[in-house]
Amino acid sequence: MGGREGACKNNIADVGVAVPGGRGIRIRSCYQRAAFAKVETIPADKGLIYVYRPQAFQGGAVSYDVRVNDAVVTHLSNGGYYPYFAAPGEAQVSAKTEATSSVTLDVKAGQTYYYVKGGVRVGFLIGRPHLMVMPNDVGATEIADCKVIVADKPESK
Amino acid sequence: MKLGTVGRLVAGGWLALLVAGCATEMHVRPEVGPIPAGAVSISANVVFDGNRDYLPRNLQQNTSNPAGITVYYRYEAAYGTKDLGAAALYDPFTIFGLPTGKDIPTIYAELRIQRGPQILKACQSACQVVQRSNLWTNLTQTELRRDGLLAVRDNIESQLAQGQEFLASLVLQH
Repeated sequence: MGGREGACKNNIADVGVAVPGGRGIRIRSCYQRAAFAKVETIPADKGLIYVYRPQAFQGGAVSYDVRVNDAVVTHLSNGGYYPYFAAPGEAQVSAKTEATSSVTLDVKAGQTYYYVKGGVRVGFLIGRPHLMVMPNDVGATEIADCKVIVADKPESK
Repeated sequence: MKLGTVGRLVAGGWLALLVAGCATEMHVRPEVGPIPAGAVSISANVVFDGNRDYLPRNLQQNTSNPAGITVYYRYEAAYGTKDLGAAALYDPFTIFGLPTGKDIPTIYAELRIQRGPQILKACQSACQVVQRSNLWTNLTQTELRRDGLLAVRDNIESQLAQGQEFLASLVLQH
């Protein structure tokens, strides 16, 4: 926990919860993280994919792992974003709850940005992830209100 | 008996709706005929940096081609989507297959045959795939993109094969 606090000490949210008996518990959470900051330097042999999810009421409680070519890169929650450097070539970005959504990008090396937007569609038991590739101008606008997701490696599901 | 008939009609209606909802539409332009028998292939320097599964199959890589022909092939995929959002969430008929959204990837491919800077032939193809998503279907946009890329590849193969005389003039092989 100490490491996590250290990683986001300026972005810790304290949440007080009342419990029967008069005592309360205080939950320290660092899920509220730094606001969007554009990645300025992209390695010459990589392309940059921003995976983001604008804050939304519908499906807001649903979160999911995002994979690139079957490797988990982040856990995408409501209002979060994650920058990922991908190797050139085809990159399949996917997410799964009760159903899978995926898009494939042709990643080019260098200063290239790709915006993959996560959403939630209706499902039987739980909302289904829905990934969309957004035009750069739309993606750049929408991601501005998102908070960065720390790079803790999520457990693979 | 009468109720049974009505019940069958309703069930049939829902089934038709479900099947219609699952259908994937694909529109490829331009319209071309099938590849004629004995079509030739182009042996040339092929410049292409994408997935070779999507490269027209009547192109053969030959970097030392004496005719000095270079073939450039490229494609682009754009994704479009339409989400019904809360309308689908509160619509009880989504359980019967009414759409919850629509995915519309569009693929564009272009091929140029050049000798030096001179363009000898150019052809393009575009494909739009429309998939209405519902609770019963789960075709991903990756799969739709692949279908679209294969469709434009086939279309450009056909376009190339239509001009047999032209191809034959370029040092070709059967």
